[in-house]
Amino acid sequence: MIPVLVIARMVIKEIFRKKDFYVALILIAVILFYASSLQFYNTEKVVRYLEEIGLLLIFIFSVILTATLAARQYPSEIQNRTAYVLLAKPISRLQFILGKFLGSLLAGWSAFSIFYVFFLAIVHVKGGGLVSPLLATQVFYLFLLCLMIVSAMASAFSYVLTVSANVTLTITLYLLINTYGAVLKKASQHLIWLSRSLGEALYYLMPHFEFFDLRQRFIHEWAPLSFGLMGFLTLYALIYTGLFIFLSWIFLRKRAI
Amino acid sequence: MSVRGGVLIVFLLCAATVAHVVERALSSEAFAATPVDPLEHLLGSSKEIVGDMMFLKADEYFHGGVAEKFNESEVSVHQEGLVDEESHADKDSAGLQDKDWISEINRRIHSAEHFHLSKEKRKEMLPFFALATALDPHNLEAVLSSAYWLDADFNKTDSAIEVLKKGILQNPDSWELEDSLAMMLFKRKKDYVSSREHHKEALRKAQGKELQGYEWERMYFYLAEACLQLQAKTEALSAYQRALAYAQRQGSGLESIIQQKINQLV
Repeated sequence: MIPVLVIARMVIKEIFRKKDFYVALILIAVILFYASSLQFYNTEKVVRYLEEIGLLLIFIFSVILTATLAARQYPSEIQNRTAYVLLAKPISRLQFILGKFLGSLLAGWSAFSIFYVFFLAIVHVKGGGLVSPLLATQVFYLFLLCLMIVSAMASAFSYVLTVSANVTLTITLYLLINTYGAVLKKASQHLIWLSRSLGEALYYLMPHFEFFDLRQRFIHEWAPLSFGLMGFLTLYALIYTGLFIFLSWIFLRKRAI
Repeated sequence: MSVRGGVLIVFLLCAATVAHVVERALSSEAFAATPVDPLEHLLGSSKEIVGDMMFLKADEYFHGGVAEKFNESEVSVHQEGLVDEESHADKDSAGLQDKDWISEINRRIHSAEHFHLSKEKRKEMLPFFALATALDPHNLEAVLSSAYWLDADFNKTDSAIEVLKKGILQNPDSWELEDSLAMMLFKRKKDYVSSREHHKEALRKAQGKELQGYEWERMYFYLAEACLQLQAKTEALSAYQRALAYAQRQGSGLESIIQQKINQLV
């Protein structure tokens, strides 16, 4: 376990050492400060538009940061020739995979946590108190699970794809499935045979990121999800994460380094 | 200062002067090609599409975040923090009809009972109305809805009038905006002079357009009412008679009221 944590700690340091996180934070801050300063017909305490913009920004930036970080781990180790040193005994390939995944995940979680606290503070200052702390916690928790799948997916792809291809594929899949995942099967019924099969295969095989997106529920103050459903979603995220880690192991297991 | 430095400064001053003169000459001729509106500069011709989306978003907000069409069967449902006024049947907001487990999970996460925002929370629609009218000032429905909500729900009649006046500037052929402004000036501001002018404009712009009979009837009736308030009895009588003609054609049930008004004036 210790080698895994050592590798993870190195990855976590990377996100705060590079400028990506700070650029994202500044960008979010600038957009949210500007948006919160807008006045609409001199009406006070209008916050839902701000919540909508804020959640969208922090979700997107968190996914981009996590995917980018996870995607460049293995290729950069190969490029810098440090993989040879790392993969020498006593670190096994599985420990290497787990360490890289865990590091990317914890770094992504840290970035998202900072973004989320900042977002809640801005909304609070604008005058929108938390209607349901339980719902706010669910939004936070489910997106952590979403980042877990994103991180595992980008890690798995990193063993077979270049960094740019991996980042593009991961973010595109996230955006497409998050947007159209719920209607993919229905939409694919109107397509030609090959696309229909592909659509249905994607529908059943790909992780449904939209399960973890509670923005609508949060903004419009719907009731929180049941604990049973939260438990199911946790299990769902763990299964997909496990699958992607297993894929990573398959990819790396027989690779000659 | 060296001679070379002096020459450089003179050269830069000359270049700046030439640039200034050229820019002024170009800007006076090319003003139409350069959008002054920052939103237009940013979004280009897609700003109308974004504006229309903002209007739909305002509608979605009003319906508690659910954007789909709803069944007409009405079911009363109460939601935390929200008061439903005209609740409809539960609707799958993700548009899912299939009965597989993924759609079932999505239905549980992304569906809600249909409700309308309570009065104190309707202000949340305002940013989208403001954006919709700013981005697509030719969307009459957006302009009229914005003005309606500002006036009826938020008691911001002055802002509503401002929205309508801007709308009229952008849509000079619209009788609907003139009519709405005239009604607001009549009912809310009691400004009968302006109301009469805008009613006349609405009637002028409506000529040759396909209006419902009751719309003509209403416009003539309120023109007459405004004229009556201003003691312009001849003009009021003429407008009442036109309103009566439309009322009789429509069988609207207001004939007797209009006839009474005419009898008082004759």
